[in-house]
This record gives sequence, C-alpha cells and structure tokens, in this order.
Amino acid sequence: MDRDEKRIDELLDAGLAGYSDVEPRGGLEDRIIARLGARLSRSANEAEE
Amino acid sequence: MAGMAIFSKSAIEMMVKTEETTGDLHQAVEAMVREHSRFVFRLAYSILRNHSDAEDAAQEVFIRVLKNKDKLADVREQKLWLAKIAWRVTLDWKKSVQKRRPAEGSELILEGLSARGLNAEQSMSQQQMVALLEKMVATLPSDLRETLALSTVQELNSAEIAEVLGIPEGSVRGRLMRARTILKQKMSVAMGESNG
Repeated sequence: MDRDEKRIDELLDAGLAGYSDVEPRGGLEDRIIARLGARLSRSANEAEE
Repeated sequence: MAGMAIFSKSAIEMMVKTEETTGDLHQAVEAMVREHSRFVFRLAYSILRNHSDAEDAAQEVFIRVLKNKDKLADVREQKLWLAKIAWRVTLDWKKSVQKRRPAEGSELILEGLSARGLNAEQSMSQQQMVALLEKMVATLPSDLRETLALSTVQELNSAEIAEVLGIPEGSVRGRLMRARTILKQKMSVAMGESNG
C-alpha cells in the first residue's frame, strides 16, 4: 500500500468512526415516554366516549 | 423525572386484559425506552443524517412497539427486534423526508467536493470529514449506502446488520468492502483534482 492509499484509508476510517457517533438532545427518553403516555391516554379517552 | 411513571392507569388498561400484565407491560416499555432509545436514535441518524428527523423516527419506533405489544412477551433479543422495527421506520421516514426535501443531485455533490478539495485534510476537523463523507456516501448505490451506514452504528455488529437487512453476513462484509473501495476511489479522485 503506497503512502497516498494509506492516507486515504486513514481518512476514511476517521470519517466512518465519527459518522454516527452522535447523541440525541438531552431528555430523549422522557420525551418518548411522555409522547407514548399521551397517545395511550388519548386512545383510552376515545374508547370511553 | 427518571423512572417516573407517565402512563395513566386508564391508558394502560386499554392495552392489556389483566392488571398484572398491565404493570409488567408498563415497566417493560419504559425500561425499553430508557435502555435502547439512544441506540434507536443513532440507527435512525445513520440513515437520516438529521437530528430532528432521527428523534422523530425514534419516537415513531416506540409507538410501533406499542402497536406490537402482543409480541413483546415473545421477544428474545430486544435490541435486534427494535433494530428491525427502527430500520423499517427509518426507511419510511426517509422516503417521506425526500418528498418534502429533495436531495442534491450527485453531480452537484461531487462538484462541491472537488471545489472544496481534500488536500487540506490535515486541517479538517472530524466534523468536516464526516460532512464530506456524507456527501460521498450519498452517491453510493442504496444497498451499499445503507449497509455502510448501519455499520457505523457502534451497537451493531455484522451479524446483527445481516439480521436487520435480511441478508447473509458474508453479503454484509462484501457490501462493506465494495462501499469502501468506491469511497476510496472518490476520495482519491477528489484529492488528485484538488492537488492539481
């Protein structure tokens, strides 16, 4: 492997390593649970009516 | 707020027949959200490349979980089960997003890459590198692009990616090799052009 090819390999590895290394905004779990709860409550109310 | 029960009693009662199962389901879904929501978000982000879209997709994944509540008791590998749901939701979400926000054409993307040049890679931040890589990955055939994207989700190994995609593990490795080869060619061309 020549020097340029090795450099490209390293660049690609570096880019892919960070490609999906992301964090959601804080409180994602709570927002999901709140939304699920609201959805269930709505379904329950509709069923009672 | 961590660990706090949000589902109302009447809402939960609509989901299941008995109080005993209700309590179990309530706890199971909340626990699943708390344990796997970041993983689901990252899986969605690997394809959608947008925080807001990935978060919306992650929320939709757990709504699908509720819709499939009857299957919860039989789920052996929760992470993999969620990954399969997340994969389907994310692809649907992407189609919806593409209708609302059409992507750039590949020619424009490559022109942009050449214009920017890659000879300054030493001064490129990881963020810039990822941004450039996103543009190149977007030009890959969909089977290679999607497999490569899933491979960047640290919680997924190649066997799990194969399960999610419904293909043999060897095919996953083959797709990843082809994707890397194409990306390296594109990078080489872009670097060559920018170096004159």
